[in-house]
Amino acid sequence: MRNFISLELKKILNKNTAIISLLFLTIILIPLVQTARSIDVLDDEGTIHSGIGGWDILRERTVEGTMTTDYLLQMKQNYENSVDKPYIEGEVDTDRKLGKKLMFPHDMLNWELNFPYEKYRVLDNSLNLTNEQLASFYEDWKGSFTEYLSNEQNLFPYTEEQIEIISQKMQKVSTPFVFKYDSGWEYLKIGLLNTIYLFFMFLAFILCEGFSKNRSKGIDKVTLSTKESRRKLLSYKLGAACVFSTIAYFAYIAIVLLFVAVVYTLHGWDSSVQIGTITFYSMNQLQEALLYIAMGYYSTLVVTHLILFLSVIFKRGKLVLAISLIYFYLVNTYQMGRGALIEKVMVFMPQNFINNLIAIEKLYFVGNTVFPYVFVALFLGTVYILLSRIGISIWMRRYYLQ
Amino acid sequence: MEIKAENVTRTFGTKRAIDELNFTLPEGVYGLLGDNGAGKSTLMRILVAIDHQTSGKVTFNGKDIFHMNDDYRSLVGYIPQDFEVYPAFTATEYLEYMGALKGLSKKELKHKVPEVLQFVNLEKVANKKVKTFSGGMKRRVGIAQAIINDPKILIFDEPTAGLDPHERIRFSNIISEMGQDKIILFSTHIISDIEAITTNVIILNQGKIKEQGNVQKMLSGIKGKVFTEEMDRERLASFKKEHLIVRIRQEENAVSVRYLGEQESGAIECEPTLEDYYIYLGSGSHA
Repeated sequence: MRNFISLELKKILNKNTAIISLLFLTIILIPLVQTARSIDVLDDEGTIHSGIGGWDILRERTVEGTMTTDYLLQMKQNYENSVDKPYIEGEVDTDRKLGKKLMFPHDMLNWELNFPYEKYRVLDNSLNLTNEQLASFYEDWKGSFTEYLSNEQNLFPYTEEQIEIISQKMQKVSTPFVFKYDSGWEYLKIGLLNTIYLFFMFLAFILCEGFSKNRSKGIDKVTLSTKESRRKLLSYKLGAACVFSTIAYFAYIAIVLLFVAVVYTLHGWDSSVQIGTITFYSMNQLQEALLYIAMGYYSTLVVTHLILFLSVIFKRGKLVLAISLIYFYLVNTYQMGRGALIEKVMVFMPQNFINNLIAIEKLYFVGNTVFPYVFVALFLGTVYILLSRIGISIWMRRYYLQ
Repeated sequence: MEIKAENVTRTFGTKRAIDELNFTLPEGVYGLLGDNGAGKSTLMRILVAIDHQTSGKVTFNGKDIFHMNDDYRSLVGYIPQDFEVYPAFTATEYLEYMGALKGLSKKELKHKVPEVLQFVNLEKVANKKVKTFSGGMKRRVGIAQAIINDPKILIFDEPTAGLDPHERIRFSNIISEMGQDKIILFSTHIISDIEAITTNVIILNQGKIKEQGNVQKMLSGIKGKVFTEEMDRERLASFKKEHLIVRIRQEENAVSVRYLGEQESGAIECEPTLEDYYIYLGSGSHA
């Protein structure tokens, strides 16, 4: 059967595919470049550097290490003496250009250290903790989740019992954390979330004719008149679409990774995931990134099936394309917004299957067993794929052409 | 072996594309004739089970073809009017692909593909991309795919449209060669193609069967009514008003007119052709 999947692939791959691919490649680089350029960074002399070059300075100025008490005390000292402090604490008023964010090597570390103490948390990345607080950081950090989860406006508010279960899991997180410059890994996730809807739009362009009435890419009268047109053809087409989506997805990931590696570097892969994500899973940034990449792939397969399902229902490639583009655009627009209803709806969207995968703000309970969103996304994705396959199979049985 | 249509009607909105068709097709070759919009393609799509009738029934050996479903499709070979081959495929790839969709195993495909390519005289270009083929060659690929599963029923919708004279003759011969042990139905606008291939014809008009049966039998009805006469061009205008004209051929100093009707002085009686009969039917004179 593999041979016939390759023939179906030949139908998908043509000059138009190449043009659309190049166009897509150009378009996805736009938000990536915009994000990368939107920073200002101070060097050791206090001079502000703008744009992509700032990431080099940020990396060079980040003091990396295992977050033992000695390290934290040293970091506090560094912060006190740093050129950043007056900026962070608002003593120096800088006239920031619109859309530019002044970033500091201490940002993430200070946020992490302030986390157990609510009064310092949020928006303020200053470091005003006492040596005693720093010495008991992990104890305070692990003990802060009951209060944090009680105050946090969650998607589905947790009961006291559930908060207790989460807090107990947080007690088991491996410490001390490893702190490194890891912007590449952080922006890989952000880059995926910001551009995957464009990738799905690209898939819609290529696959919208899948089961549509189309003599060169979709279903034509001759193939429909054959014995296996409602069985083998379905497998060939789904197989070819999945192979294409797989190749396209990993090419897309390669491009995003290449961009991330060039601009931010892939440095800091072994830093702790807890620097940036509040989760009870002990893993490093590389492992988390691989999870996001894997889930991106899974959502790609889901979207591939959904596009083909639409094509068999409507039989008109252009209509499928229009519906898909509007849907991906709207989901992307609302994904950025906040609100209980939007967030509840977003849970079901394949585009959102790479968002907050393991964070404790998005956990689901079945009895006393807790599941992060990644499991929900996997479950939903499997349901979507199965329903799409069943739907395509049913619709193909009553597929007629006039 | 026979295909039987009983009161087959297909409507699109309020339009009846085919209307209460009844016919039986035993083994043999049948030509389907009719003007544009007569319902030929609609009927053919129903006969290959890619469209469904609004009412009525089509049976193959007594079984409803829509209940037979894939079993029926495995008996069918089809070339639609707008036949296209995937341009990126080679002839071999396309035939392997279609063969697989027709349920042939890889082992069967291995000997069937070269066999049908040879039959349509395309074995030398077997591994060339179809996009480099002429219209006639593409049509021959169409025939090859239609016969690769050795079908009992062959439906060709205007298979000679757009072909050059050589290709048309070649195509006609191919259909004639295949005519044994099969039901072959082909539609065309080119009446001489039907005459060259078969003696059985169904004539459709506005979705209804206007005539069906043996061509010779039909032609006997207009025997002694077809004539040719040479005349000068001035006379032609008034002649056209009084007679049913089949053809006007320009001669050196005059015109030769083939017409249906009563013999005029100077007119020579001709053997009637299907074209004469078609004009005769269209005129309503037979009614």
